[in-house]
Amino acid sequence: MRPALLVLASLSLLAQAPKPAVVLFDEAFFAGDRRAILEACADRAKLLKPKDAKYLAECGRAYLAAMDKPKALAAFSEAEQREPKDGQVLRLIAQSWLRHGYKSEALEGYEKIVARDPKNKEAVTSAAVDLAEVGLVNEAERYMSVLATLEKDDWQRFLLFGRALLVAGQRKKAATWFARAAALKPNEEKLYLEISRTFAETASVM
Amino acid sequence: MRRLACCLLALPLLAQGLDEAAFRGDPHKLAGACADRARLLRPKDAKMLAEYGRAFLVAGERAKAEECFQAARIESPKDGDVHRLIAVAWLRGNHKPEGLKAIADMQIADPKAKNVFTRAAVNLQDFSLPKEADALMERAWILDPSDWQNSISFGRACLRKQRRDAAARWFARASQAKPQEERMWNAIALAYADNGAEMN
Repeated sequence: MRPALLVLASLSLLAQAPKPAVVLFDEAFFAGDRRAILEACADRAKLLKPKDAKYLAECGRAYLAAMDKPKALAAFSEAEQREPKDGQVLRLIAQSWLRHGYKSEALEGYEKIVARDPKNKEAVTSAAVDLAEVGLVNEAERYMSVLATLEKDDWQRFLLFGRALLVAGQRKKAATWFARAAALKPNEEKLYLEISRTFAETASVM
Repeated sequence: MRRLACCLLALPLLAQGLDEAAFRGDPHKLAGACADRARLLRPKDAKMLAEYGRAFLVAGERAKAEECFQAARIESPKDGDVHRLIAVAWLRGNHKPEGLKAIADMQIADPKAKNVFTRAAVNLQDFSLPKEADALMERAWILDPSDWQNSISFGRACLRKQRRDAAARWFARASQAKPQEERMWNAIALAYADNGAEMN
């Protein structure tokens, strides 16, 4: 008798509970509060495909931007559980922390790439580029030295890193990496095109 | 004979190495020097020619830039992206009439290139030409209203320029085009997360 009463009582409570507002994703909504948009879109994306680790990591970034750290943490940890050894996923998480000012969480995240997916050249380079872009040059160069041990002739990645340093205003250090790339591939037109493009794009800020 | 002379003239340049000290020099001159070097190595790719032109413009060498643009147009006259790259080069160098002329040429040369139109609309937006950007993006959208990626890409550019209302219009269009696409929702969320900034 008592359980039946409890069920009835909870049913009436459920009936009284306010229903979650249905979000209408129209022009007015997208012109509205930024945090609400971030949260609603990330919620929706998470609902539609919760099993993809990269998307989960990106949802986490959106939650972090919406200043909803608990939801961000939940998304990151779910992403990491699904793909604990995927350098790209680990990098996305670390990058999210970095972009939103959580330096120690970011550095810890980047370290996981080297620990768990040490041969992932793309993730290691991305870590170096991310860190260089925010001025953490020593940390960035450490990841580039990891890359150099994996492949010492990777001129394209050296170029990418030089570009990041140049954009971050590190002219001298960028020169080192451009020269290294040019020495490896002196007759590659793409190399010179990329360098000229980089200097053309950054000339106005120098 | 003239071709041979060009090749002979290019030989000393190709033989020169570019060291660290060279890369520490004047950025404008470096842009031009690297473009010179790249152009000598493979002068027949239209997109690359357009990009070398951009570098020459930055280096203040307008004649060389125009020569590259002309060669690019001759090489691929129907490729809208080549005209777009030329437009970007002019606009980056603050040559608005030349830039808009290249945008017009692009629409004539490749009238159904919705992705190129979108990229050009984003470029126009980034160069603070919102009216021209909106008009071109509208044209891209008419060509394929179901393309949510293009709508988001332009919406993102609007956010970069603090045009919240314009961005809202394009994000609403994207969400109506593909409401069951998780990548679309994710892309909108990230656009707001980054305030429209370009991410690598």
